Amino acid sequence: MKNIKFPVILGAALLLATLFGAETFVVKVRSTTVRSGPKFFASTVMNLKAGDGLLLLKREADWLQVKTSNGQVGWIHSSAVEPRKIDILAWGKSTKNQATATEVAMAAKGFNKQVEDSYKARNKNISFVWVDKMALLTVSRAQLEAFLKQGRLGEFRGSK
Amino acid sequence: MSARRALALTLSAVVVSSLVISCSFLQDNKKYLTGDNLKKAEKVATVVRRTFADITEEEEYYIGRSVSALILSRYKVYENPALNSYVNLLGNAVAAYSDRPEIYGGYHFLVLDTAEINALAAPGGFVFISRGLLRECRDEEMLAAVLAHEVGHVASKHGLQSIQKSRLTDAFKLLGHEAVKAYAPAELSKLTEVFEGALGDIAGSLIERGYDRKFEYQADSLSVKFGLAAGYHPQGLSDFLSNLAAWEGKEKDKGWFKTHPAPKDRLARVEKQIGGVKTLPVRDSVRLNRFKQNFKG
Repeated sequence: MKNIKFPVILGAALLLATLFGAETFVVKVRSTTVRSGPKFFASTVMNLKAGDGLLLLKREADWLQVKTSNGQVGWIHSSAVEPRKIDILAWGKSTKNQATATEVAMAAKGFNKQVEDSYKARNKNISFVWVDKMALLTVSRAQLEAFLKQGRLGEFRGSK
Repeated sequence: MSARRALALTLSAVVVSSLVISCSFLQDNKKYLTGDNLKKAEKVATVVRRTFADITEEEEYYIGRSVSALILSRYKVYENPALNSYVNLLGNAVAAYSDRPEIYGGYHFLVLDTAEINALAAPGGFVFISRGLLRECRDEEMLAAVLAHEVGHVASKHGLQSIQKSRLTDAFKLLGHEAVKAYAPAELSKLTEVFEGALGDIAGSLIERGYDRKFEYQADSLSVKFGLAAGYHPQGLSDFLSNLAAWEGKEKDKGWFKTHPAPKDRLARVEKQIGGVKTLPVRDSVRLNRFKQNFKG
């Protein structure tokens, strides 16, 4: 029986870790919302930012039911998150000590503001004035909802 | 073989497979390691990032900003706040029902002051549409179809796929070094050169060469899909393509005609796709009215 103890414990631990790793997600967009149901215009449970971790509870088409780090449960669209995968070298540490590509990029790795500033310095003839103005052309959830309702579109189809 | 021995062998196999799985995560996802573990991992895994799909959302956003700056160095902005606001509402409406509703910095749409019939989608959700193209749209369904085509390019990351593979390899090699808070001058200089090259690849495809034809057909197909999901009648796309066909001879070397497949080829595929849709939405007059309201003058 002694012979099988080590493989049993290690195998089970690795399998569990792999399974748990696949169930953890990280927000990859700058900001997003956890909603009360699997649709865009469901009420807000809480707002999240890039790098926030989530535990997957279940999937429904493109929506994931998740639990946030403070224990709140709600729905998030799959395009806002990426899976956090298991890291054997971080074995024994909590999943908070592991990082996704987004988290690594957030720690100033990748094409980032520093690279954009360097590009601007080398290309003074290229103006970013309208790019900055364009980035400010945003549509709030309330404005979008009103637009869809008025046009009888999306989940407001057929409404008067 | 005793049952106990068989069990031990089976469990050992499980352990080995688990290790193989975990190590393959390391090979394919070194990007998931922390700074602490990165050095250790470099000794056992040599692969960092390989393809356009490994570009992060934030990187895509910064690439998109600079591609947009290049587009705006070629075209003037049509400074009409009311029209830009309407185009942003409509664009965000179709984006909300796309395959990629959530994107790092959100979707942004801007009208270009040119008579050329053109629309361009930079990575990261920056979409441009010309006054010339707007003139070809007679109702909201047609404009929604064009914007959904552009959202399709963004959702499928067609812009990022224009970056030369060798350029990505160079970038990822530079980015593969241990995480640092800021780049050293020499490293930043090299990285900026690669960045400039990547921007040139994308802008060249968007403005001069056009994407591979299969990307354009895919964006048309996604336009029908996203439009339908949002509640728009997909006939908007075929109406728009029919309008384009009338211009083809006169505008051959300009805008969309230079960078897109022939309208009649696109039209045939789109009509085939629409023919397979079981229930089509109503082309509601309330949308036509607000379209007209926004295009007064």
